[in-house]
Amino acid sequence: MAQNAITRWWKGRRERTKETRYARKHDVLYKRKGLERAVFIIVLVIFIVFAITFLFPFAWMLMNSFKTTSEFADNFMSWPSQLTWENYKEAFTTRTSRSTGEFNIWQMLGMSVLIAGVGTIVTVFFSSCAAYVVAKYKFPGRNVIWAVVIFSLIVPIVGALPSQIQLMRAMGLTNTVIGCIFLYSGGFGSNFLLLYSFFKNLSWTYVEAAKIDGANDFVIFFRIIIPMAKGSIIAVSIIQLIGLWNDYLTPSIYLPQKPTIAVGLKTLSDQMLQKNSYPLLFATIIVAIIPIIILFIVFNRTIMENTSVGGLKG
Amino acid sequence: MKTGALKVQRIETSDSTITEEVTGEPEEKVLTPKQKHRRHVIKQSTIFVIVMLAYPVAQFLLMWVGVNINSILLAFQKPVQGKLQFVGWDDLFYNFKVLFLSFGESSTQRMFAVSAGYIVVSCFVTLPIALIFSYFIFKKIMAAGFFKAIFYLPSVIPLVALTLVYSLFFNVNGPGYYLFGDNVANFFTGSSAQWMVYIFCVWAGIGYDVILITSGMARIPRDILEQCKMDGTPGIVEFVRIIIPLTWSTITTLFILGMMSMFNVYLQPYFLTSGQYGTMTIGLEIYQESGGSGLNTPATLGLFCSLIGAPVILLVRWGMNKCFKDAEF
Repeated sequence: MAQNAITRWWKGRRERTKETRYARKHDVLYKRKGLERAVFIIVLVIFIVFAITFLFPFAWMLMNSFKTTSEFADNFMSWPSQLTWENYKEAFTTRTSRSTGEFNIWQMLGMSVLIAGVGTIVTVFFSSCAAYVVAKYKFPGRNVIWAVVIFSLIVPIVGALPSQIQLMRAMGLTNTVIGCIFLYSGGFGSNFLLLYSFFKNLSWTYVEAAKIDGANDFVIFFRIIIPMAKGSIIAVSIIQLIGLWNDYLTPSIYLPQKPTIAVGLKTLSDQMLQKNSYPLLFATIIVAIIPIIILFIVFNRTIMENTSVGGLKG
Repeated sequence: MKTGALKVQRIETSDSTITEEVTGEPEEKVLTPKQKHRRHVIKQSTIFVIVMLAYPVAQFLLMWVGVNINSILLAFQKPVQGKLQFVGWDDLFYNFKVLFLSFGESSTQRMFAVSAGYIVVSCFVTLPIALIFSYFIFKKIMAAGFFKAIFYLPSVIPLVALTLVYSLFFNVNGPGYYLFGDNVANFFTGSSAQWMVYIFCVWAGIGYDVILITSGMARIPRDILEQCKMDGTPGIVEFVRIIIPLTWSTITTLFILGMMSMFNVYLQPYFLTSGQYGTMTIGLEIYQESGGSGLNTPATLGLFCSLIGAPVILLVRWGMNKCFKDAEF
């Protein structure tokens, strides 16, 4: 069944690619001649070189992650004489040093899943609530909320970190998962802007129909609006999830004793570099980035189509 | 039947559905069943708005307004026996005096210069390159979608992993050794360390800008581009006269974000050089000092930077918004 789904997905994708290619080939907008064509070829070469600078270091690292330390020391540019999975096995069992608490990569991945997962759900939920109300309801203070949100996004506030640390300490939220999630749970960030523009353009017809049928605002929001906004909410959630998964600042300060993968990778890499265990380090990096790479491959279209920014109107 | 009624204020949804909010003094009024139902709806909508905004507003008030007010207060405190206390009216600007004294030190001067360098890197190197790349991707260069995804890759990989890959590449045990020989040993330790951090920021930052700019370009109506094609407008003219003005709002936002990088960049130098070899930035200084008990020092530095940076950035934004009329399409 899963195989059928994959086959269907692959066929659909191939069809779409064919259609796109055909459309592009016969589109007058993209027909080029002479100098214009030459310029495009030169830029294509630049693009290829630039793309190689991104891909080659990871390919090199992947190749060397299958070597033993001695084989890597002998020649770090050769293919591995035989593929050894020992580095990957060790990557999953190596623990961070005792001073920062002993954690292996599974525990760090688990912590990342918890923090980034719950953080994403909470922040996207509150952003949706705030964005929907500000976009669709006129009430006293609506314009003030909008102005303050825009102000907070365009005015550079430098050095709020010490104050934030003091406040978090005072509330007893340091070194707790709740504290981390609380920091992430703000409803007025870039998510708010993305969802606000979606809700602003949303048709009100369904809501009116539901109101005539006697549905209250809560029912309308959860039963009609949220399903209608599913696409935008998923897109915002994925972008947010990647952001929180990669976040170093918040967990490093507020959760030092329960490292996420972003924080733990730094500790592990420092340990491994001290011991010159390069192949093990490469395997660890590969393991750490694989979840996010898979997410990116699966949702790359969604991520890129929804990562946009216009002028911030104050 | 007479009941005590309340004055109501109209709450209108933006699509003309009318609800009302209970606001004022009670007054005597006879209510028909229809009015009663309407009153019920009004009450519900008010409760709905309050419930939906309660947590986001409370969190914002605490973690943005509260934090920033506390940050200002911290700039007027100093540690006394391990506890932060008000500096006193006699020496109100004590922390600022200490900060201004530090401006005489070469390390502080270098920190400000290095941080300002990130404005050049972000606004005048990364952004123009990204703009050109975006134009070619927008014009559907061969494999445009593939390049767009690859360029965006650094934005989805944890920065700690990306900096590791970058530094290991330019290691005596890395491929960079084949290109630069023994020189790579000094890349992250000597005078070239700062340049390596700047290069990293350009290399890793282009993709993010490309995605945002191509999203802005994608909104340009096809008619305009077809008209250009029919008129035989050269690519460079189309780029300068059509594409740039029509994506100006995105460019302005990215330029402003680039200016903010003077204060925001801290993890790149932290991971690549630990802030050593003259790579310290304002952001990293604040980050590192925030770990100690003397929170007043980084708070004062932050407040000073905000006071200088905010007007400058707002002025630049205002100036850039004046350059081209915002087009609605």
